[in-house]
Amino acid sequence: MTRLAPIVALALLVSACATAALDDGPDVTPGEQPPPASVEADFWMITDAAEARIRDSGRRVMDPAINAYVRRVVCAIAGPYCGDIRVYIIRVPDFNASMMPNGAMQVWTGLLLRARNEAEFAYVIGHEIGHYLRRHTLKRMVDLRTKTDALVFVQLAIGAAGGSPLAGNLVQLLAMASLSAYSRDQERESDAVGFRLLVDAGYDPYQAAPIWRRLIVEARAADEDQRSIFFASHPAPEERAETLERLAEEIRAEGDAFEARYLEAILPLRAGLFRDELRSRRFDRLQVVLDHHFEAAAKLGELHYIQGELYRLRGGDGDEALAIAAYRRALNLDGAPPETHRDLGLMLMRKQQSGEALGHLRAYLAATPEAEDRAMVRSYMARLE
Amino acid sequence: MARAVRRRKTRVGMVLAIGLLVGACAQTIAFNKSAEFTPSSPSPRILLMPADIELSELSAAGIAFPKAEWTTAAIDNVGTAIEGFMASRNATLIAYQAPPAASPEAYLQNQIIKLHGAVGNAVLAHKFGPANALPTMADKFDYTLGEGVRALAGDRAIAEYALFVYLRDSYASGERAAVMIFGLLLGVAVPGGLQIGFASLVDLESGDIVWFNRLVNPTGDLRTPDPARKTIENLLADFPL
Amino acid sequence: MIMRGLGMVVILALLGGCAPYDLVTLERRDLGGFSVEPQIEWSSLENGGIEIWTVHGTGLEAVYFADGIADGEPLFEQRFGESDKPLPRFRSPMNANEAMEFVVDTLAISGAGEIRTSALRPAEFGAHAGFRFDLGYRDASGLEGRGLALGAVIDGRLYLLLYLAAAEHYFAAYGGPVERMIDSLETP
Repeated sequence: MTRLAPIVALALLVSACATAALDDGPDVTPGEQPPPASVEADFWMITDAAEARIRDSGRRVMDPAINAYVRRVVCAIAGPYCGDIRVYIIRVPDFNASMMPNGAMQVWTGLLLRARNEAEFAYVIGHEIGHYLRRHTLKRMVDLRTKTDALVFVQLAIGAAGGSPLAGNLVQLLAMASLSAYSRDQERESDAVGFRLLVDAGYDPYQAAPIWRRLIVEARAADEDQRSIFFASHPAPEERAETLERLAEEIRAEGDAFEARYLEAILPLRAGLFRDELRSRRFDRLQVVLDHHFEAAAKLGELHYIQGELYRLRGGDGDEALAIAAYRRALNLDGAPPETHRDLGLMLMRKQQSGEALGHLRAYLAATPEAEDRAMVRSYMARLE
Repeated sequence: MARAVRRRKTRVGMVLAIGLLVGACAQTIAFNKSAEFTPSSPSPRILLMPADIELSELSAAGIAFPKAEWTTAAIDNVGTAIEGFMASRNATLIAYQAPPAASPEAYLQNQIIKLHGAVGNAVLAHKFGPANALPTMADKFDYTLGEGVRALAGDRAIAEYALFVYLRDSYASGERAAVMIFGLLLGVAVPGGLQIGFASLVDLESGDIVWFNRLVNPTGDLRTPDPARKTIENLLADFPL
Repeated sequence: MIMRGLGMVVILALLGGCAPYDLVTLERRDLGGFSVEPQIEWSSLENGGIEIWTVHGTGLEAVYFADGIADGEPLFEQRFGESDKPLPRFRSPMNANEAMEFVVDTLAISGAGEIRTSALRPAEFGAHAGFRFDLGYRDASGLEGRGLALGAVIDGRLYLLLYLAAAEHYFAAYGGPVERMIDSLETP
């Protein structure tokens, strides 16, 4: 045991020096490039490679209109940093936005579906810019190295086999939430930065807190293991919502939420985004998100169709009747897609209400004569006739 | 007391045996599409695809932290080494120029490059070691990218072959070296850095992979020119042109 | 590019051991609820209740056979993708639209992106009425893939033949044998 002490002490000393160098560093300045042979340069290289993979990935949303809108909002909130940021919209039905140290920003479509207006969306972006400005990711990396380095000596000392030979790569370790969460201090810093950016850009300061409160409601509705990935890296949402509410009270500034403008940008994509959520079959969470959209009451026919789909896919006791009712309601309102007729028709077919089923399938084909499943639908109709 | 010492010796023995398996020297295994490979021209032109290289430092815990400065140096050194090697074989190297991003050419060529990645994965998964062997590929090496590969050479068919090189190398940090020594004292072998790579030569007419070589090396240093040249000589051993 | 698990590949190769792949020869092959003539030789593997045939490796081309998925069961027993999302479960009875949705949603959770289905149409599945559809997708690296499916719900269970391959070269290269295999399909 006595032989261990000097080596462990030495290791901890070496690691401690590395951390101190970054903790009190200045914020990122616009147009900044990392000095060569620095830890920042190393992370730019890793994130440049990661960015290239994201740029090419099959999950990237390429639609020009939504990309233009998101870029406009990012630039509005980022101010002088606008030119350093490249935004990628990724099709994942989860609330998340993140920035890499090299300026590459990811926005997941789950965030687009959960923000109620442009100010809420801008605040989340501003919060991530806060992490970027204060170099929090870099600090997490260094912290990760320090923690795991200390661990291996302990492991060897207590005789655990091999330390961690061929231990994983960085990416695998980053996935371990406990080692990769932002600290509470870092979260407070980013909230403060995000809030200041929101106010400076002329948005309503009261729009910072509500989205966190809604996420908390959604998380409570979900099972423990279905929580949003965002919470793994961003702890303590309740505390932060309270802080943001208090900041809004204190600042007494006026600003806009731009709800109509945001809805206009999102509506063309909304059905597809809800389809992604349905596909993941996390019905409790999805109901919470759907309910918020019902409150905003835009294109209700589409929302009632999604509600019908939720019941159909959930398929619990009584869900069949609920689905049929939801489809019927959708058909009486604005914006129900043609698939409403098809899915209602198929449900009625299953219940052997043939006449009505036929009517709806016919209506589906009349509305979309080039439907990809028209051959199949015609064969259902032939069986019903 | 005596029993504890014996146990430690056994662990060292086992670990040393595994170490020997990994190889105290560089190991390469090469595959050729056919035994009688004849180059399509006496001085073939080879399209050199951007080498996929990353050098990392091993932390004490054995995590590989990529390092930009080392990687830049390695890309330089490997480029020089490949140029020297090809010059000695009378082959002309042409650097691959990616078409403008978001152009249809870029999309097509990226798909071919990604396909090469998937094919490379399949070769590495199934041709190296009996654990994962495919009976359908037992006695042959028949991997291709298909004729779509011609998109890489462009309208003017600027080369007959394309060369892809992939290298990953890691180097023990000071802390890792301390762990390795510390481990030795306890009779546990803690590995240092490992150099892993492959090279593949693709026929730009048929898309066939005419030659594929994999390298595993526990020594070697790509950060300086001479050792990098040795690694490339190993990697390109049995190069058919 | 690739090679996330490269280190493990090296170690696995060195450890050796028994090979999981068998050779499928040309004679008619019983897959449980149905049988086919393979048309060419394949390497076969069983994983999670699914039989998988390939020539070069499943990242390039593969035929998946599902034999009698029952009510409440997922398509595969194991997940290859994100493990925090529940896999869709087969519900008996399902019509062809729902069966296609079940397959597609399973693929999406397993990591396929941008899945586009087309031409859902009735088809023979041996002596039974079944369905076929085509699909396109992109894998995690962005490589385009294409596929086709033939399936049927028989006595409340789903039977499926699913062919997935890289869009560039491989899908067309093995499309012929797969179509002939489909023509040869028989049910008892």
